Amino acid sequence: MAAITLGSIARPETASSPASGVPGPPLKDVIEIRGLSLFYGAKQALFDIDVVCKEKRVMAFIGPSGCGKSTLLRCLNRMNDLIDGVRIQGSIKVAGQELNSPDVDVVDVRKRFGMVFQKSNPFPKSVFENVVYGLRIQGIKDKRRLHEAAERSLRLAALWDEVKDRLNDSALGLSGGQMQRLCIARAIAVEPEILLMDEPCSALDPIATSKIEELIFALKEKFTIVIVTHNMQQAARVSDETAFFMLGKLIEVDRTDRMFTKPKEKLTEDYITGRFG
Amino acid sequence: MSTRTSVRIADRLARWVITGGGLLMVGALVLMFVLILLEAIPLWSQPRTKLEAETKLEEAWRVLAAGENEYRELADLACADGVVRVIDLRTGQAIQELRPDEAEGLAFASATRTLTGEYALGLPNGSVLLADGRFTSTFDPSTSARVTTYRLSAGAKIALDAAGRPLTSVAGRTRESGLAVVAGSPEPGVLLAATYSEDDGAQIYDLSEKLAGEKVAVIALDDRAELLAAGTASGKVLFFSFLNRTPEAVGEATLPVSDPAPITAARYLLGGQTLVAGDAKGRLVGIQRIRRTPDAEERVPTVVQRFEPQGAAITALAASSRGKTFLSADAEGDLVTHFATNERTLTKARAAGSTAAVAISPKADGYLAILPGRLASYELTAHHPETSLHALFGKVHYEGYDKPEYNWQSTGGTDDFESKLSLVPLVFGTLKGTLYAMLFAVPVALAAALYTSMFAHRKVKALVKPVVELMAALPSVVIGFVAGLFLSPLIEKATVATLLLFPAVPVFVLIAVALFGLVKDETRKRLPEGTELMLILSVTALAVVSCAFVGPLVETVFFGGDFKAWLLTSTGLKYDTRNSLVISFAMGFAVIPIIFTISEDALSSVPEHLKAASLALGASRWQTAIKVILPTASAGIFSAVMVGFGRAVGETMIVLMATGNTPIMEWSLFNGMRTLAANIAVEIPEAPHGGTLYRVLFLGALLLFLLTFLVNTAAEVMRQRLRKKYSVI
Repeated sequence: MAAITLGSIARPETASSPASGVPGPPLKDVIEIRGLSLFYGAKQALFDIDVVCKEKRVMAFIGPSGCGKSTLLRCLNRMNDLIDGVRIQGSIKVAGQELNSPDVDVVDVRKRFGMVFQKSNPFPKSVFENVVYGLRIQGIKDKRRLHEAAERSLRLAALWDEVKDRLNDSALGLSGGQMQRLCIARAIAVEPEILLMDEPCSALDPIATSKIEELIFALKEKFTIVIVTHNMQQAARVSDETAFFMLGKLIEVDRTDRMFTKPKEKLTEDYITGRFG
Repeated sequence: MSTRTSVRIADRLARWVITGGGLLMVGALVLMFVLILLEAIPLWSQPRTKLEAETKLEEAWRVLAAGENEYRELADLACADGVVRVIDLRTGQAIQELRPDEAEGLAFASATRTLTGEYALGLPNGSVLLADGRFTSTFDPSTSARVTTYRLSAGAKIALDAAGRPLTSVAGRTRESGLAVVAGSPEPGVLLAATYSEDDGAQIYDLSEKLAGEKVAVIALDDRAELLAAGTASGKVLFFSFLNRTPEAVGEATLPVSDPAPITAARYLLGGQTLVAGDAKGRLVGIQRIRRTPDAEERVPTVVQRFEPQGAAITALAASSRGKTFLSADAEGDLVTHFATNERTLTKARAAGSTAAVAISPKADGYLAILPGRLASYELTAHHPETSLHALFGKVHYEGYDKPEYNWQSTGGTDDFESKLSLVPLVFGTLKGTLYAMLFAVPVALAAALYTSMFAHRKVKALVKPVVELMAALPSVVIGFVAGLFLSPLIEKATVATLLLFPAVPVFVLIAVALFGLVKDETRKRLPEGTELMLILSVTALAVVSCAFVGPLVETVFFGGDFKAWLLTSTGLKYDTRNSLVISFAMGFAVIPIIFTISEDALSSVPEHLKAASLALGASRWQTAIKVILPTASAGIFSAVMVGFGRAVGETMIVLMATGNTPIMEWSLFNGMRTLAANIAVEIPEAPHGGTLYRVLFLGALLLFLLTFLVNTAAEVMRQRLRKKYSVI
């Protein structure tokens, strides 16, 4: 994490998290997935998944293509609602609150999560408008507040120095890596509790990838992060815990160091040693 | 490995075909433009005149009035020696010398000739003799030649001046009813008039008292022998009406100049509405009797046209029997042709010497001028004298109107009709129809597109889109037919109910939405997809039904039971059955599918990942639609609206059948309009090929072309800018 100097990041005063480095109270379970099954029409895509993500930890979902890791990620902020014919069983609790209960407003759920997509997807607006989009839809109009939030988020996303002079230029003029970091800045500007990353580096070159990885490392001080990745080295580098999926089933979930050195399951071992995938 | 030959050939072939196709397309468009332009350009061809022949006249003849036959071969001249001579213009020979028996061998003191060839001959004994001269052409098959004969048949002879003084100026004409009206002046302070019919004999009226001391210089009678104008030495023109047989003074007009000069020539133009008068200082005006205020009873003679002045006293005027063209000649021999309606000077020619009389040929393709000792015959080429930029796009004071107006009325029931060719009401009508159609279509189509692409269930969308697109396949003649024959009577019957629909439908829907919001989420989720659509449809139907019931009630309570009468009395607006309201529905119906389908495509093609990004940030679907989807699709939506606009501008059959085609310039929703496109469709079958109307219609087409071209170009520039601004990676 040498590339980022966290000391320079302006921390919001309302930050509830304990300062990094200081041993805090035992880590809370932020996300609790219990017995989750998901069906696309008649086809079952996820089978009885149980995963728990801890506060300010990075959880990586790995597994071969089509194993359901992205689907599971999208269950968390209920993006699967957009797909017709999706049916979900089981429970997902965020900080103890059930997400799928009928009296929960999906818009409220999504506000608790920031999401970064596989393909960077800035809006065709200026850099500034991209970052403050989430705040604007919450009805915040105060210019100063928006500016402060934009600067804070861009600094946190390690993009401030690169774009501070062209905040009003179109976001589409940025490089691929910058765009993805802009998307991260946009996601964290609304101060979510959890950051969901769906293969955030798969479309980036190695240098941009390493910047994002460093960023993830820095961001976990503030957010609980769930990252889906194809890249096992990435999982090993950035995550604290790893869940391995195959064909919609959770094979194994454990601390990352243990998972990559002493996997309990044969399938996990075969996969991380590259025998299939 | 090199590319296979077949692939290379196919590649090259495809390139040629595509390039060729594109070029052909552009070529066809340019060709179309050029063809339309070529038809319209001759409107601006400069009228020409050319001296054709000069014929020597004997000094003793002293021509008083002249005429010409339609083939421009023969001229008939009333000479002061009491003879009407027919001159062959090709040889210069006098081929006939006619002495009317009724003239009793007397010389003529004065003479005037009407457009149809009837002479009023003033005799030295104070009598007026009317004599109808007529050329008749027959085809002689044995010699394959045209034989033209001239006959002079004497009509009424009225002893106008009891004192037996010679008449120095005279005018007269026999009406179709047989009643002859004559007027004459033996000396400046005296004006005498008479009517004569076989049954009642002659009635003589002395109008001298009504001159109020003015000295009569010239007199003129209109074609119908209803109005007599007397130009005076002080520069005034006095008018007398013979409508009630007994002449009445009906006002006077003064030339609007600071230095009045005697009126030296006056002549009624074809149709008898405009009197052209010229004075001793070469000034020429057109005088019409108009109502000064809209509800005035009386028509006051008023100078409405001023023509290009000439350098010397106007000595003779001649009117055309083909339109409002006239010829003015002055004491220096300048011969100028004008077109009265648009005050345009057509041609100028210069002949030496003072002109005694002039005549325009019946086909207006030439004219004669009687000069000292000779007769000059001129050719006149003026194909489109009616058109000028001012006449096409400016306000013109037409005959029978009280003020200058924009008017389109290309043909009329009579030969002396004045065509009114202003394109302004047509452009206005085009824009009005388009505007009302767009006002209705754009909100409906865009809302439908937004709903279908963003909110509707997949199955609803799969049904709605093709059905709406099918609407576009409906021939516009069918829409026009339904609108004109079914919808417009329906709306006329239920105008208030129809108007109530505009507020009622949104209000009903909003109330329904609010009520629907009270339903528990759980219950709502269990409803089958498409329920909301069914709900909206039934609420809309409910709104329509309640409007149908409430409409008559509202009409009774607020509009005294008759909306149309109320409209007329309280706002002065007339209700036409075929009006803009009908058009906004009917043309809207034609335009909606286009705007809908293009903008729906644009909205649907906004990448899913942008939508996902917005939703993941906690935006509602509505916020996402407004803040992300709409701006991103704005280029496409903009072109959708512009394509719809283009369709509405060029739409022909619907407006043709459902507007009544009245070229009026009022924004009222309850009036019809005439659009450029419908105008062409209506009039081109009856426009003679190569005629003025024909070419003006092509000019209308050109205007339509340019209008669409400009709008489309502006739209494309705008669209490219939007696309650049909201391009998506």
